[in-house]
Amino acid sequence: MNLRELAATLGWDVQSPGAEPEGHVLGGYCGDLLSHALANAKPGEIWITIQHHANIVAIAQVTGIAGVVLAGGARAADAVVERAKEAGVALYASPDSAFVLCGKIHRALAAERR
Amino acid sequence: MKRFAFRITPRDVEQGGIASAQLKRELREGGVSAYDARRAGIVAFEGEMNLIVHSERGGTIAVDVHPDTIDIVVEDDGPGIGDIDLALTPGYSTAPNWATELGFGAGMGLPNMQRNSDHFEIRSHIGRGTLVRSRIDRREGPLTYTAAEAAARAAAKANWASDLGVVPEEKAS
Amino acid sequence: MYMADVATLVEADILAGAGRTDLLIDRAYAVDLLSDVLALTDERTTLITGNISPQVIRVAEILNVIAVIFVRGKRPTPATVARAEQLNIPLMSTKKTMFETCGLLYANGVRPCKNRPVESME
Repeated sequence: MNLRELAATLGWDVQSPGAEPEGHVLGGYCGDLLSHALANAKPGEIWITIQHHANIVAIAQVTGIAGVVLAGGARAADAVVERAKEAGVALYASPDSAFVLCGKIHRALAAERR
Repeated sequence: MKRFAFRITPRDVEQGGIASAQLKRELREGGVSAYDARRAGIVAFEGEMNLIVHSERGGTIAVDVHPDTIDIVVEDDGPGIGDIDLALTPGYSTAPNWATELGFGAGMGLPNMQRNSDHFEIRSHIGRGTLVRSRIDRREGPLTYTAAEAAARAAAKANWASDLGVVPEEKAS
Repeated sequence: MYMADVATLVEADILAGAGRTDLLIDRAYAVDLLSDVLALTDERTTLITGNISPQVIRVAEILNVIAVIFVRGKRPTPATVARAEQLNIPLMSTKKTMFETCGLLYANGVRPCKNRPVESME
């Protein structure tokens, strides 16, 4: 399942479409601590967070994650969205909590593997 | 009336939340409902963290428990908030990186305080300090208000500043 | 799910509250940022976090959080564990990520707690 399909399936709001939404989503990373995400989020994973600090875009670029979904109804500020668009980083927003997003993504990816 | 007062030291993150947890315990022991004590605890905790993260010389938390209300005043003497509306926007934060990395600075502090208050006000002047007042109307548990009750509460809220002797014009810094 | 089953499911060590494995864990919230935890309005929530600062227990006490699961192999200091024992708040620690922990609990019927229902007075 690629990121676009996952986002559509789970009803996320597209804030920035991202440059390469075709690759398969390989897993999830959930967390709000910037330095930990930088050290631990893996390429191809979707990052679930409530952290909408502008640095999330840079961290997405550096780590090569598939995209970022902001949980709990948080939306990135316009400046952050602009930065994501310029960087080609996929950025979504969802009213679901991080816990629920992890649950749904986990289930969607597990179903795909079966 | 019962009064609690706490002095908070700046930058002392390790101690953060001790005063608020103690406050909640003492409120409960003093017969305050779990619901009210929890709201007061949240307001105090966010105020406490704000003093630790943002204030230059620390500050104070004063809590007065009245039969009908719990009044919480969090005060410091600098640096002051430049744009209060912006500071009240969920997600807006000026917390330094060290605080963000510790899990603070999500930009929810003041909004959380406001959400858990029935009456809420901030006065701040750059270079002079910030004063946050929260009043919690005591009740046993979550309530859903009728439209008429909500209107009455909104009216009471509008009059609140004068009730407390606060000069509304001072709000903008 | 009962705490004992949760611990088995996510391969967690029980750091505090070993005598309370029959605690029912039916709602959860996952976050590292403590201010976001303070926005929780639901009672009886289990907290899933990678944040091991001593504030976590203070926040748990203020919010009446029923248990805390530390993820990413994080363990709080002995002082924090002792405090949790005093407060009767069970603590668990798993090496699994927050994503995996949430995914497994969700798949086993744990549901989200309510968050920020914008206290209905506005």
